[in-house]
Amino acid sequence: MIQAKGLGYQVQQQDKPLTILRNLDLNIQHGERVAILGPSGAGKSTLLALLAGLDTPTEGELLWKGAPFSRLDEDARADVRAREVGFIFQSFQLLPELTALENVMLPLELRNERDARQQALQWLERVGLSQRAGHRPTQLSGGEQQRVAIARAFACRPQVLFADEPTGNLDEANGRKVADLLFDLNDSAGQAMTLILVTHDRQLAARCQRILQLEAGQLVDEVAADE
Amino acid sequence: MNDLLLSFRLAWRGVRAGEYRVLLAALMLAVACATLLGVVGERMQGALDHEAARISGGDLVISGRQPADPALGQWLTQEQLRWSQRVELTSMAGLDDTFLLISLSAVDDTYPLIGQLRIAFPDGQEHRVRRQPPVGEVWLEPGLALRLDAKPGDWIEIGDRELLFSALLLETPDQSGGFASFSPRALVHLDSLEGSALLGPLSRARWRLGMTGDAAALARVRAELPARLENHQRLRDMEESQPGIARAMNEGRRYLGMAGLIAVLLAALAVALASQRQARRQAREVALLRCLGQSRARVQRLFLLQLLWLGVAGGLVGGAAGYLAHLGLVQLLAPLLPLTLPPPTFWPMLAALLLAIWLLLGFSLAPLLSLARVSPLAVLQSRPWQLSSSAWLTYGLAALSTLGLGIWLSRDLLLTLWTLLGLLLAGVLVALLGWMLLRLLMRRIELFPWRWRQGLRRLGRNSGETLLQLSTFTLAFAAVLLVARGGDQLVGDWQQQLPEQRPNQFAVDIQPHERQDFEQFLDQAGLQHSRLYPILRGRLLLINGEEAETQVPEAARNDNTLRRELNLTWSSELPEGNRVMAGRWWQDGDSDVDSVDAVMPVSVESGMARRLGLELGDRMTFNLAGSAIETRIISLREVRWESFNPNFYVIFPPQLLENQPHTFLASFTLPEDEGTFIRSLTRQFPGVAFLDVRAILAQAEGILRQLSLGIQYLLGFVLLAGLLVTWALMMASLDARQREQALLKVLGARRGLLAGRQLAEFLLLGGLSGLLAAVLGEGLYALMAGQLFNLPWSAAPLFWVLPPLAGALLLAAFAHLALRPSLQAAPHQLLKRLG
Repeated sequence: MIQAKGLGYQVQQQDKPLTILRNLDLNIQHGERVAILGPSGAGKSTLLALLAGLDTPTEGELLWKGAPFSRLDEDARADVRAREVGFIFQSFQLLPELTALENVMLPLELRNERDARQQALQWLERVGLSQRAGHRPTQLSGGEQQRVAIARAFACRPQVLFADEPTGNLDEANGRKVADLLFDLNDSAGQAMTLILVTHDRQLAARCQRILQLEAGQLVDEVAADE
Repeated sequence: MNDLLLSFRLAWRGVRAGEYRVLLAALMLAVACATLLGVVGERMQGALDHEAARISGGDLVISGRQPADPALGQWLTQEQLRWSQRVELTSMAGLDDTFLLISLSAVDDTYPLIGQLRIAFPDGQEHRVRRQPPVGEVWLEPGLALRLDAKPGDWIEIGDRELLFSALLLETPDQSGGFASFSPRALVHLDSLEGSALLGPLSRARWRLGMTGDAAALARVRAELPARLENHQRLRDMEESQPGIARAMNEGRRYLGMAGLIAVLLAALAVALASQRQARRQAREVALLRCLGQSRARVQRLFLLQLLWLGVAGGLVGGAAGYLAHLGLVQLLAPLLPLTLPPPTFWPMLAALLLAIWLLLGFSLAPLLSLARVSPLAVLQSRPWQLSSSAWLTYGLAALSTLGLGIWLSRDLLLTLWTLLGLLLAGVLVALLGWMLLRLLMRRIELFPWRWRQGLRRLGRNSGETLLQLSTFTLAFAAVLLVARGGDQLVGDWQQQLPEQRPNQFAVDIQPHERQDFEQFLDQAGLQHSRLYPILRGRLLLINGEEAETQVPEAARNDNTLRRELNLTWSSELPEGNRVMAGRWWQDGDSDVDSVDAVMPVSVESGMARRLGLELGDRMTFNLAGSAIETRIISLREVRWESFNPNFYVIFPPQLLENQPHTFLASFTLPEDEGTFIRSLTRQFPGVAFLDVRAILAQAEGILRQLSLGIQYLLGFVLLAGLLVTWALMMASLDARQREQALLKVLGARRGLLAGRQLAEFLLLGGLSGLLAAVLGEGLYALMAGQLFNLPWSAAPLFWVLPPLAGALLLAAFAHLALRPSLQAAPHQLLKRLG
């Protein structure tokens, strides 16, 4: 599904190049659940952004379903994201001026889906927030905000779901609930959805089929979760 | 189509969530002010033209020494214009043994072309009529009837005719406030003088043909008319016939124009500030849309469409508000505005829509386009990011938008360019001064108490942001001050023109031997009066030794000044309401001219000098009772004709002409209830003529009062725009300030400490802005007062003291309002809200 060959990423900081990712190879299969594990500053979020086409690598190549992805222009990559990708962020990234329902409706509306409202309501019901549909993000708890963000991500039935530290901003109990919800929904999608999860939580990573261990921008280990 | 609907939904959600509050308020105010300015300005111009036309007796007036060719009248009728012809001459009116010099007007069947006459019939009832005296009858001014001791039904001898006195002439629409002629008036029908010697070949009568009709027909006729005029005819210059009231209206219109322009520019500034903030706030939404797979082009399209929707909303609501506000202003100015107003059109609403979209695109397009280029990753990970739009594009578009706005409103490219350049320079100057002041304060920081030190440090630390805020606040304050200062002085000046005890009667033809008795009579009655000015009547014969008519510009060849005898006077002092614009007033020795053959110095009214092309040093020869008097112009005077004091075109130094035949003229104030006083004066001084100007004064007073109200009304809009700019600027830095407060609270700062620091910071910023605004506003006003309103600059200490205080208090109050919720909120809630 997604293949990286010699992937590298550098930024200029105070006129000096700073390497964030280097010479990274990986292959993620369709329907797979992969966790990217590593300490802060290891380059996990950057790798996720590159895999999702939010940025382009400075070295190497990225293939999406066998086709070169990183060489596509911004609009073409955006098209791929619109059709096939969902996101869940550590800081939820809900739009504060929209209600929970409107936040979930937004990607559906962008795809010009006629029954966006109906679908969004169903997803809010699935994440247990139908009663809070009219509330704005500031009126919701962190756990509730992340559940809205999950509903928004699943609403478009993406082929690949990227989740960047989805429980990172939540307490343990809420984190567990959100993780359960995320994996339950992913299970119900079955082989139709690939999940790529960035985390530094080993327990969460353990719920994936494969764990990629990232340190200082390099892939240092790759293990199956049950090992 | 889908994106159109989707963008509408997104924009509506933003509006509902209060996201566009400041932007929309600024936009609506800008549009409302522009609509108000446009519609009222147009109507004021219409009113001014109407007023000029009423006083002149038509929108276009032809003046000539003979009646107009009937073919001209036929042509005007074909062109769908209404026209009226009248003749004016000086004649004698007599009853029994009393004969007096009068100004006689003879009018045709279509008189009055514009407005109404006020007359009183023998029954004593006053009537407003739109007709002329029947053939064979005469209407006399009350003062004239009194001096002739005429009663309705008497037969008055006028020239070689005897006409029946049938009504008192109280007011005519073409009554001028200028008082070029001091003779009492009588009105007759033109046919009453048919075949009379009064209109014979030797007559000095002036014929006037006034016309009115729709604007297009008038424009057509105006263009073709010069080719059809005979040698003795010319088109009258409106300036000659406009009274002082028209000048006040002109000043008022200019003021309303300036105040309106400033209000719109201030509101546009608020739109610009709010747009910048909006762009930053929308960064997260853009980043999210990009993550959700939307191309840059679509994101830009969606936001552009949202802008258009906002523009439509702002334009419609602002346009409607402006139109309603205009109705309010029209109500206030009702007596000034034409009776027949053009019906409301859709144009102002369309213009409002276009203006709103123009403003939004001008100020928001560049940041919006660059938003789509911001790295979504940076925004989503809360990493620092910058809007990457080219400064040239951002400022270029904003400048273009402002320039377009200025040209649209002022219809003057050069004026707009200069204004904007002036604003830019003023902004830079203020920033420079602010920087110097800030540095000075920072060097003495240890002199301030702790909280003030904290506030000052914050200002000093973010000096770029501080200077930007300082410049914007200062420019906004200065603009409001400029408008307030102009309005204050203009209204004050008008009030000065019309003081409580202003003269409302003129006494003319006072003989030299009656002078002392007359003055004594007025003094004994306790009436306030002007001094008695000598009057000599003289005709201008030569200019620089050549026949006057050949020396003046072509347009002035038929000027009345060359055709009739002028009222001349002598005076040792510069009369009240006069100002020497060029040359000098008398000095010792100016009166030491040995004989009448020598050249006498004179002072000439500047308007007459301009019309006749006269300059300092030019020689003028007058015919005074048969003797030629040669004079040299040593000063040009500006005369306030609207002061209702005796005013003169030409003034001589004292002593030189005392042996020439002359009479005296005075003005005095008659209380409203002193109805019989004139009668006893007339009995005591039967040769003296009295002119009652109370009706004209009341009209002038009404107009000036309405204009003053109009000024205060518009000042309200300017103040509102100034407040909005202040609020928009406050909101622009709100997010950063709230985040800083939340962090300081997390670090243990107490609420009182934060509030104290905030208060000190804004008191300093507001005080400095107010101080700089007072300097800038006063400087600008000193430059503009003379240019725009013909007002000399005068000190107004209140306008220097008030701004620093008001600025400090206003900013502190706004900061309190804007930041109080975050000051009281728990820090974690605040951080959560700010993301």
